[in-house]
Amino acid sequence: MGMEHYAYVSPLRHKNACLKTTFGITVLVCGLAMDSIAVSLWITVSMMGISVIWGKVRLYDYIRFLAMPLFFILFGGGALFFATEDMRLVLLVTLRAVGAVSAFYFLTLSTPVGELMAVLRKCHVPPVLIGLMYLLYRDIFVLTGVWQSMFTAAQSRLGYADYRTSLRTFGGIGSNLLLLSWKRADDCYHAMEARGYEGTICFLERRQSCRWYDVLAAAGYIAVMAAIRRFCG
Amino acid sequence: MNRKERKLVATVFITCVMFGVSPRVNAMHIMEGYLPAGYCIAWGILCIPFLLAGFLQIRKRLRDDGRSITLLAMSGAFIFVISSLKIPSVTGSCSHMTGTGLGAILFGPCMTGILGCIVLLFQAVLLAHGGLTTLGANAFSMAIAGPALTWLLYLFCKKCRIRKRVSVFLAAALGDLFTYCVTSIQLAVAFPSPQGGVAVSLMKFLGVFAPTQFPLAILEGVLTVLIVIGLEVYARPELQALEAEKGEAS
Repeated sequence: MGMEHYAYVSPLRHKNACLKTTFGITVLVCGLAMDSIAVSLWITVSMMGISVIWGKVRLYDYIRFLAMPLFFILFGGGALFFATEDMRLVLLVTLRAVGAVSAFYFLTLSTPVGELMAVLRKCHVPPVLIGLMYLLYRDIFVLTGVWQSMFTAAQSRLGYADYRTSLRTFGGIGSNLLLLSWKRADDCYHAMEARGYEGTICFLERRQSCRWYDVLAAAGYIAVMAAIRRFCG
Repeated sequence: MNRKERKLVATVFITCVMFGVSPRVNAMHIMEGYLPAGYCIAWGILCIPFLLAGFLQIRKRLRDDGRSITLLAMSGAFIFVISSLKIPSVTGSCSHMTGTGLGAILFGPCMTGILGCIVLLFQAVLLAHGGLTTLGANAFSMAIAGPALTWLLYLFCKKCRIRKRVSVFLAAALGDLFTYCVTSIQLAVAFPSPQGGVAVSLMKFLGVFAPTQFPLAILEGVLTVLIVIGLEVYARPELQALEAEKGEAS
């Protein structure tokens, strides 16, 4: 999960998370609503520029991140062409999807999940859900680590020697993982309780001031989008 | 070779080719930006009642027993991890389980709806599977419709006293197929064919995804059964506790 790493080290991380989220989602929604090839191209190129130049994401990594969704998008584009036989529509949808993914990448490559959740809290999402999401997010990494060692152990014991065995190994690891996760859940609860957990998980939030020039830049970006839509169609 | 053997070889050959050609399949997630804005909102709104039901159930459960929050979170993380693992396939092509079928069998459909939604959000953020604007559509197909059918089938098989392994297999495999049908419907409604409308493009979308989704659904069924068998061997008390809880909830 290299994207996670970039979100934590990005220079854009210290910008206000609310502003970044609002900006990212506005661009996403506007790109979708404007439904134009020129706007989508602009979003793709400019978001890549912002992430690479300001976000200090290595270009190679950015392209690697983009390659995976791009494959699905092209695969879907093939299916779409087969179904509708409308080349213009396929081109439009494909570019729109690439633009949307780029806009979303701006957000995920500059904002760690913890800060996204702080934004959700400000949007008055119920605290129960936020707590659940936060724990779930942490547990993903715990379980992935556990899975990794189980996988290595199974592999070194020829658990993936042939197809039948590998299916069985997969099933075994799956059930073992679930069992282990339930056990860990209990330990985790005890640890939380020992640290004063009483139903809500409290976080210390880093204060991020919202600078006027950031707001101006975001507004300018959206104005450029509108202008492109107006003049280039 | 007699006729029977030839038939066997042909079947095995076709199955192997199907597994072999399936590329990195994740056709079930609709990508970011794929659906027009109106449809994104519509599918999102359609999800709300189901998610509300799930939320209320979770809140009640947490009120009764606060310690289930870590259990729920772990279960959600399990769904995430199991659905992001490559399943073994012949050629090393990469495909994934949905994992929500297993979730529905273990925790019931309402809980799986909420957990599945959170998992989809994290899949979008961490792995770029699916997306934020298509979250509603994806949640409807993968976290609500599929698990709901799995759960109903599982209950139905239990009523008919079908063997547990068979019923788990049927429920998981058919739930997976249903997810893919719903995704195709979502795409077809958004992109009707200019000649024949929604019906024609639905048939075409179903046709395009079928060769990859059929073997995947069967594989999902097999793996779910294997996981459930493992749980039955090592975690019978935990499974019984879950069954009891589900009985109370429904």
